[in-house]
Amino acid sequence: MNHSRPFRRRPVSIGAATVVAFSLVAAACGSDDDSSSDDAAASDDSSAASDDSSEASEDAPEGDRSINVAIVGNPQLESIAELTPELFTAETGIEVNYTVLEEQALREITTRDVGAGGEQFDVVQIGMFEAPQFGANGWLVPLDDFAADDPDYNPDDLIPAVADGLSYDGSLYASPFYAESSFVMYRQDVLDEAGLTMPDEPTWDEVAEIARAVDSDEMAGICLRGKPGWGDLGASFTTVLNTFGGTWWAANEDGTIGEAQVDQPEFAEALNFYVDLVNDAGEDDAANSSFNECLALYQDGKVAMWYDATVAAGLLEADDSPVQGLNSFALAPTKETDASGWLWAWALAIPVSTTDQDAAWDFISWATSEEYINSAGEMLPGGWAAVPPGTRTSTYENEDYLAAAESFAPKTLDAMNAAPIDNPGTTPRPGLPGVQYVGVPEFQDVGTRCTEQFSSAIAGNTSVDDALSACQDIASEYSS
Amino acid sequence: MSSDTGLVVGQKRWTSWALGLLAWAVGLLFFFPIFWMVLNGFKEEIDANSSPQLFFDPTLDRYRDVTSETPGLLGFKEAFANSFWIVLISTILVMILAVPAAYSLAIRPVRKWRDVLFFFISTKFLPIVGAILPLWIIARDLDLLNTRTVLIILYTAMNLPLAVWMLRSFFMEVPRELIEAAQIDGAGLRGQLTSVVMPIVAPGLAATALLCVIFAWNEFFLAVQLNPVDGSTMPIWVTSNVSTRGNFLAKLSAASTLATLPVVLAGWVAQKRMIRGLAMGAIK
Repeated sequence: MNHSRPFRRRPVSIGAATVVAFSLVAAACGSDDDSSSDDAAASDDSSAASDDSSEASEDAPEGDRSINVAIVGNPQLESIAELTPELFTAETGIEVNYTVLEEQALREITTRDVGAGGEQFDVVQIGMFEAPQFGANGWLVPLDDFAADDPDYNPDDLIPAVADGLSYDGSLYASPFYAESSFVMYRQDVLDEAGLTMPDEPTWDEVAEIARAVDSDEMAGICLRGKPGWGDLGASFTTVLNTFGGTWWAANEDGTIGEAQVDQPEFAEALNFYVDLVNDAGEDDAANSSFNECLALYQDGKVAMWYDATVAAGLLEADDSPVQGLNSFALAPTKETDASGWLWAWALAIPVSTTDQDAAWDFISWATSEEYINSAGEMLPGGWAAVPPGTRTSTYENEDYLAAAESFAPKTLDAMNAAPIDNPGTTPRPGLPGVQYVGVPEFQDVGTRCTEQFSSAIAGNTSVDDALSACQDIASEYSS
Repeated sequence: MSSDTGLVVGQKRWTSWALGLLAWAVGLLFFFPIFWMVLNGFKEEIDANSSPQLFFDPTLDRYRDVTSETPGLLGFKEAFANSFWIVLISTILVMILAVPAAYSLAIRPVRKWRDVLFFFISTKFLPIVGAILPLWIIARDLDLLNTRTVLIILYTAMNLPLAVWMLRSFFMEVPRELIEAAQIDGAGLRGQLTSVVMPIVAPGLAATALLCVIFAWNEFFLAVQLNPVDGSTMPIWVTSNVSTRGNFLAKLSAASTLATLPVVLAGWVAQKRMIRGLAMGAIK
């Protein structure tokens, strides 16, 4: 009888706990609504910040607007955040919240948000691989009308190959913020000492010969990507594959994926060439190396040559680089084709779910304009060498930029213009245009799984033949 | 006879030495990556990426880089405050919900308590990636995307089964006789809880709360999927220091060190209670 009391009380105490629980959640919700970006702890700061912004918006033509922008972690993109309050928000009254994500996370999140209409972002940064595919799916707002009505934008100034790569069916779906091709960077002093000369437009056989000749215990001949991933080893290797006359898939007449071509002799020749070159004259631990690893090795004097993105030249020639002034550059090596450099851009696009498309365009127009490049060159601590390269012809006519980037700017522009976006190889490809990838969504899966096999062949854990036959099976899963 | 025992003692000493050495080796092996991270945070980018060196000119510049604030970008202070509130509120919610649940599964078991217990843990069977799409769609439809609220709710749900299981095993430790003695002395439920049960399970409560704090503090997947924009948390801030084009190892190390510190401090403060709590609950 005595213990019946606790039983009567129990529902009361559970009820109390529930009330406390809900009030805590409600408190959390409330703080979200009250101050959209700042938290309760920093409420002093947030009220001060909102005072500032309301003052700014009094002068500005537009009201209290803000947009969410997703960008990838990349030096050029991070510097735009520093310039935004002064150069964009003060002019337009539009506040910009940036989300900086690592590349893979950015891909997953923007693909889902854009595809499923999550309205998490008003402007998303996408690559050249995604832009035409998303455009074809109807997920993005075409930018042509905005561009035509905007006197500051000047679409004719965009580097043609880049604009083509970001278009689908003649419409531009993303505006390039930053673009790159690939070329060979090499240590002029090392080649001079060995009495070797790099041609301006080398072939892969010439590059391999030089790499093997300068390779020593202290310094590898060439740094090539070996890390699995369609955008890592997949990008470097596919440019080699293209110029060796191979390809991943044949194209059906309607442009869909045809038979897998991994079992063809050209593919085997390209992979054998790549694996042999890395093993004979490549960097240590090549199976784990990609852009950043090669950059560190090159800056540390551990490699004599490096085949990678043109943007690396700016980092090698930066003021804080130990190899500044020691480098020369040559176009991407070829074999069967006239040009083989890749083409890549990070570009800003507007998902169709965006509510304030005008604000989104105002931001894109500013961020990808010639005006932004000029302001960045004058205001960024890195100076003109740190401006986003590869997007506009005017950048390469700007004397300030040419003075700062003298050693690599002309070669970069040559590489961008030479990139064979419409016809990268010797045979027709399925899907949308692309150089270092096949422009179909399936390539992400096939490229990543196959480069796992190839990387394992580079590490010596499997033979090239086994890697090829495994990859042929993987690629055949998508053939129709 | 005497020489035999001498040999046994010698052997024992040798074994304990060897075991001690092994423990140190394993400990150092586990600690090494953390040591390396802390060291890298004080280097220049170029040094962090070149061949390893133990001696170098330490610099605080990387810490300055990662804590510098740019309007519109998720900064250290904001991420820290967001994480702090999300972790605090979700852990308080977990404890409020888990204590009564554990009580009713241990001290005064409800009917079919075994089924209840397994139902709780079964919610952890599905890998979270398998549930992310429905979660995302629900969050979108309830306008909870990009809010801290969605993370508080999910972290509470994520930690609740674990907390219930842990607390139940602590509550099982409370001797029935003590509760009965308190009842005979006329203590009501509240009296029994505050003067008998709680003092005994306090280390367990601390250990459970600390684990919830650690899991919620380190959670990345849900945060990046559901709230990468406003009010995002420390793990998101750490990854925002990764760069696709350019060296970032030293910066990332500095950011990771800053993100690790609060948990290390919390663990250090709670260490004694935690060890007692873990030993009490986990091994039985």
